[in-house]
Amino acid sequence: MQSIVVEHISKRFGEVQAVKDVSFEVAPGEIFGLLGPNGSGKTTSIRIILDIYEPDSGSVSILGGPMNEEKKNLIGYLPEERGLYQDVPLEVCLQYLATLKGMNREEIDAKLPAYLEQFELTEFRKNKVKELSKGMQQKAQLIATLIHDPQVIIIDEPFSALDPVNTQLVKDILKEQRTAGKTIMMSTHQMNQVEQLCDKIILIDHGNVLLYGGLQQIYESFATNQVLINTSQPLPATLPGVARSERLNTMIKLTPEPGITPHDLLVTLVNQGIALNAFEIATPSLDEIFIQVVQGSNNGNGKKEIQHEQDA
Amino acid sequence: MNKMHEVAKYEYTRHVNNKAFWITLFAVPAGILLIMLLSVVITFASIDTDPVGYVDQAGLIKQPQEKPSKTSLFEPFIPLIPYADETSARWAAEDGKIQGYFVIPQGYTDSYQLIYYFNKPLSSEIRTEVDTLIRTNLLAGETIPNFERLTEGSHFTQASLDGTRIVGENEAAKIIIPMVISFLFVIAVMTSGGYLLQALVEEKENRTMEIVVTSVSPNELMAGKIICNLSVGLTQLLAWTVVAAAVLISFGDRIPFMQNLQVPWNELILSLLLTLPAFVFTSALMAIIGSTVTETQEASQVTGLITLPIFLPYYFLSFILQNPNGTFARILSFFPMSAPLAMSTRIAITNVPTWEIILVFVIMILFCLLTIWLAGRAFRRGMLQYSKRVSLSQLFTKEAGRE
Repeated sequence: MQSIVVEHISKRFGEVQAVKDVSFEVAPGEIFGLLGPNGSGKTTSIRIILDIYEPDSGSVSILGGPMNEEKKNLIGYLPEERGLYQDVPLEVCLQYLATLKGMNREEIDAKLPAYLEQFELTEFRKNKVKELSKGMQQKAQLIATLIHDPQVIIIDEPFSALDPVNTQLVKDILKEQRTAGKTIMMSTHQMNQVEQLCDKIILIDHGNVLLYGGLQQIYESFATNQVLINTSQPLPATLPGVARSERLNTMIKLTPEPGITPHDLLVTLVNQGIALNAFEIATPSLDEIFIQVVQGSNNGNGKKEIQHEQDA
Repeated sequence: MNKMHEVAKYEYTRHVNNKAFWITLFAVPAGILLIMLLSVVITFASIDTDPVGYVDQAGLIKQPQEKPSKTSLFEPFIPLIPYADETSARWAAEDGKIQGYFVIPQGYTDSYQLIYYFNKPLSSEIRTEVDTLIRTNLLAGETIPNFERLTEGSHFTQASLDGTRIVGENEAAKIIIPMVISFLFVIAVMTSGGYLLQALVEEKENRTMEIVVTSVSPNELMAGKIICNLSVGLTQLLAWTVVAAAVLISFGDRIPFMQNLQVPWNELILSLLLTLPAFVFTSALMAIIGSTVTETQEASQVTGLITLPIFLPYYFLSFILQNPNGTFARILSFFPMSAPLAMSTRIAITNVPTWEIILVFVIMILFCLLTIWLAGRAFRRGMLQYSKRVSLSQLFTKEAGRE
């Protein structure tokens, strides 16, 4: 059973169409990436899922049905707009937020010290929140998101204020949660993190879905016949079946002529006696796909992709 | 509803641990006591207790003035010094030894006319001393039962024609007690309402609101905050009551004003009941402000719009006292925000018809319902609007009304 099922939701604020006919599903044990440029409708979609906003049309099912007060205890949420009570000690703040998620004092006392230790905040637990750095506050908020052992974790830009060490810590935690069968929905601009973590993504812009599917499936759909090679020999001026060659640092990107496959190129290179140190299919990065799709959408070419992926 | 309890408990602890709470707790009674003490001290300290001379040409004074066994700031004693003739009295006055002198002329018992020559004008305290001296001497040798009581005069009890209201002695105290207590109650309402406002705006400013509303229903959140609001207000009132009781028990018999005081319980309870709806609608109004503004500073400015009408009756107190059943006083006592103080004052000083009291309760309850309804819409509409204020018209849009 899918943990989150979003069906054709739309939301308008005055003249602004924040979300338009967005649909997707997220399964347990899956990290789902919600991607899009600033102002694309990501946060509005999350708020609709969390029942903060009511959609103008469409529906959301979370953990098997509409959101209710009991389900709030099963959801961990790290909003884009970070915030903790500033004038209270960190420990008190986290205890209070945990009680709002239905935890009793014994449960909190059993779990909070371990989380504080894991995030290296134990020595700051008596400090007022406003005395902590931005990164520490973000880690504290992640504790508030996870402490009640939620079934669904929704996190908006989880790595934004973290150094590389803490970024790795959070990534490890998210992977652990996925292994534990939790449903994770992550909104971020950091495509490298999406590539490393997400199983499935949706890309929206101006409220519209531009891309939706499994990450591998998307890579394949955007793959070309281009190949990257590394050789210590100079390449001949012309190679049979190669339309264009382009040097990229240590690699050379070869664009084949129509009808020529990467396998054909490999055969040609071997037959030419070129010693290859590396040969790989030139898969576009998620960054490139993101830019390509968003720019394509702005030029009116994005709908095809949407239709293709939605149909898929 | 368990989360409502958690919200209330957390908010209460947070506010009671806040310095501002303790400052208000001590500053309000301290300020009132200080103002009362200062006015009393200034009044009594301004009484000139320099001696006054007299020249008894009528040969009336056989028993000179007796110095009382104890004197104090509140029971001043002005010595009356006899002079043989006007010349010596005048010299003493010109030397500043006395503040003036009066002459009891021959034939005083026919004219009862005194002449006072002064450096400083005749004060009521000098008149009292002189009257006592002359009366004592005029009546010397007479045996009059209950002489002291006779000179004190009659006590009056006033009753309305329909017999529903009876006002006895010490009227001033009876007026002031409900007014002061209503005032304190309104201060408690305003300060605790201020905490609710502060908490809401901080949650928006700190961006904590989004976490909170995905953990608690808006109804539980607001109910928890209002319970905290009531608890903080009642804690303040309890503390002030304890302080007031301690002061009265310790010093009540030494304050002339408080002696033989009978507390007007009926009026007092009615006044307190009038302020209960004020707790609710002030909370709701604070919630509206907290949900619609974006910064604490802006919230403080808008709060003035609530404070002004609530305290309006105090600015026009003299009008209400002069004509408690006049149109102006009635308007103030039916306008929901000024009603707690205006109606309390009217109840304390005049006979307010029962139908008016019932009407004001109905108006205030309706106003409570209206403000709660608006607060719900304001909260839903403005809770996540961080950078732009919610306008009044937006509170009536479909979006604000979503359940």
